[in-house]
Amino acid sequence: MKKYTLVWWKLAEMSFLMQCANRWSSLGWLGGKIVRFVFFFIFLTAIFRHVPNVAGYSLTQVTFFYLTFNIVDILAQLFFRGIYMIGRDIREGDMDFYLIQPVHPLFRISSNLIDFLDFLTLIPVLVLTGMVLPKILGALNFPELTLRLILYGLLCANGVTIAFSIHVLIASLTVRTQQMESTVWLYRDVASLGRFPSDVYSELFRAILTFVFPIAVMVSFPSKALLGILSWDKVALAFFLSSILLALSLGSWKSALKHYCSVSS
Amino acid sequence: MISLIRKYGSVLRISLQQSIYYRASFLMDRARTITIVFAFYAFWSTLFQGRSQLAGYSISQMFTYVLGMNILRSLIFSDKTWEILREINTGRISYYLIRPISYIGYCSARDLADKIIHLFSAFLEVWIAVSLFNIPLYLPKSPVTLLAFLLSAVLAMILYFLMSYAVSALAFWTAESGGPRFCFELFLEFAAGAFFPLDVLPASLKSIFEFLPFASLLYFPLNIFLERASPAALLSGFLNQILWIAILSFVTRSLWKRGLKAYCSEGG
Amino acid sequence: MEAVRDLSFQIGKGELVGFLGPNGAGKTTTLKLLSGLLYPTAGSLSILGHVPFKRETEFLKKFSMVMGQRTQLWWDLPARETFRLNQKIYEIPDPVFRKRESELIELLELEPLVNLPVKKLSLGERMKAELACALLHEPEVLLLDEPTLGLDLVMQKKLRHFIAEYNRRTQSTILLTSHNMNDVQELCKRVMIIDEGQLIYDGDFDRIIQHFAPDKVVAISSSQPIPMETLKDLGQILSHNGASAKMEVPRQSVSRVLEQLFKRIPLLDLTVEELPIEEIVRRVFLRTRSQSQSQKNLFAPGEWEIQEQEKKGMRERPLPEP
Repeated sequence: MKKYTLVWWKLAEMSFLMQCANRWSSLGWLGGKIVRFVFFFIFLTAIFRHVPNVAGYSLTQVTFFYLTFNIVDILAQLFFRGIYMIGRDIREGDMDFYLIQPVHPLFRISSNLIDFLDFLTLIPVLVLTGMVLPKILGALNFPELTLRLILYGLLCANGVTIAFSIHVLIASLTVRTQQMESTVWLYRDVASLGRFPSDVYSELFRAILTFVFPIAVMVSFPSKALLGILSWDKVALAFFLSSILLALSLGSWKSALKHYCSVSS
Repeated sequence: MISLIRKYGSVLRISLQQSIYYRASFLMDRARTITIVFAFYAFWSTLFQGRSQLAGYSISQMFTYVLGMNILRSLIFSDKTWEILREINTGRISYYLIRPISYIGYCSARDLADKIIHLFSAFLEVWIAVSLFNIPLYLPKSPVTLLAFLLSAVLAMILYFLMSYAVSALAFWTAESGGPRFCFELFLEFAAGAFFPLDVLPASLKSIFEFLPFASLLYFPLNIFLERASPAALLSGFLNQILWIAILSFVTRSLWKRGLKAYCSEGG
Repeated sequence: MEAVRDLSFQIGKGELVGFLGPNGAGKTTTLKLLSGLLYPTAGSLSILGHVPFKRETEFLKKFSMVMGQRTQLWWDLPARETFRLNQKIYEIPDPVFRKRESELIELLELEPLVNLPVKKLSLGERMKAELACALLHEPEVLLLDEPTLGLDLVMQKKLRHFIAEYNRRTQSTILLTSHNMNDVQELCKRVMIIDEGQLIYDGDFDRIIQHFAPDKVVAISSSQPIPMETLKDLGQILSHNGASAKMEVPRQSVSRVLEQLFKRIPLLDLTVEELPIEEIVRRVFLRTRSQSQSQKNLFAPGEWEIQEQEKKGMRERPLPEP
């Protein structure tokens, strides 16, 4: 465990050094992310000038859904972004080096592009969340409050786990087919549907977002748990789904590696 | 003249074939636009439950805006400027500069191919969506509206072309133009109304975007189509488009001139 | 597709073994099997008591691989950064790491280079940094895949010198593939020749010559033009250029031929050499090809003209011992 922490920090440091070498570009990416975050935020607040609620949620609640989406999404990107590049890693032979090092290849690949800019974008998101939380939880007694916060934290972690599994599934697919890496972008697009509370989508589509592309479980369930509107069977379902996905993805990764046929030099 | 058409026509044809060959990346582009459109469609349909009017839009107007977004995004925003960045940074541009073809002309033909194929796909998607979900559409009542819409869309296309090429020229001076370009694109999408109609926003913000060239890219043409623009707004909108086209053609042209000079003096 | 088959060998600790073969012979595939990058469909292999494909940490820590023209170094950063990364990955304690790092930097003359972004290094400099990076954890087994590919002669020599030195000093087992004969000739006592996925020779490098080359090359130059006819009956003429000539002569008749030459021609200079090793190996490959592909004629006329009777003669030679 200590080894993995050290390696992770070193990789993070190296990515940071690389970003410093390309600081204008990095600033641009950071700017773009902030623009996206701020504009969606403005949009969500602006919409409440025209309507009293969205799918039954108040401004605070919708904001909270949006912030939670950002937390899970940013964390997933922070930890797993390296997987986006797996196609290139395979083509250029870097994958071979990862495989002969005494660390888990999935860890090595995921941590290959740790982005400090994500830390920077995470800060305002967390600050805003801290500001919104009291408004949602203000009236609760202490045990109830702790319970909800713990459940929220667990479900967020669960969301990150689901994101990880999806990344691993895509990585396995890429190893198997030597292409398909663009499916990662498809995932990013579908995940962006989680900006709004899942209740804005029709019943059928909500089911798809729960069971097929479990984006709702990933980003909407934590907020619902915190709001106290997620039934216990849904909580169980969330953990059940993520365990199955995780097992499935790790299994597929293992078998993909067996089929891995590295490019010849 | 004929030989010119033939020359750029063949670039167009080759680019079309290429997009078909690299279907995966094309489909990803489409997927991105479709998810945005879908998310907002779902969002608005929830908001319109139990009401007929929102931010000055009727339900059919709002849905038409969302679907029109899909079409205008394809017509106006799709181009291959990321290729230009790559070509400049890798030096591949020299390969074009030494040939009897204008690089800008070559890029425009390539962009046009991109626009055609995206537009085709966008119409198909809208047609499928409308017939599948029975989405109520707002169709303009007078043919003059349609004419004005087409004119404003063409002007918007030219305007975006100029803006996009001005930003791309950055690549002549730095290899790090990718980040700024990403930032520019995202900002533009919001400010142009490519996510939601600008009427949702506070009036002050909206008027800033209307004054700057952004709103005339997408929001303005769609508002003409939805017959929401007053004659005065129409006039000022068109004036705004023309004014910015004039300013930007000057800016972009001189940026490219200088950029090419800087590039050539570096020796590629 | 089968890349290698019927390939079995054992390598002892501390050996420096060369893998020789033309492109596509299966050298890289064999290395990849040994490193656990490829999963063998049949057969078994074990290194240091481990099965490579299982990727046990214990095994991976004791082993390293360098692939020519590929790099594990981070392109935009100084090589030193990747060294540090590998320190963490291989859990090398700080003092040990510092000692080894400075040793390697000194041996490979990397001093100012490790502090420059890797993209600014030349191919040869990068290869040296690459080697240093792969050796920081002092692997017991080192696989080198075409380590000198694309390097200039001076750099090739330096690298070879370093590899030999490293092998002697650490008693590590080194397996090296190359299609550059000099690499193998200078470094490896034992050589394995592989072609079309099969092992066709495994033994001492020196014995390749005896084994495959019963001929020697006699080169002469004279004070006056040498008529072709005077040489014709002595051996196979390889080149003939006015007053100088080269010919291939069977080993056992070398002395007889020399005697005749002295008699017939006013000689200025005379040398007797072994056939170049490239040529020997080329002939070995030609022979296995012609055997495996039965009667198909695969003889491409190279710089060494091979005559009809020569071909027949080669086919009749015995196979090397396995």
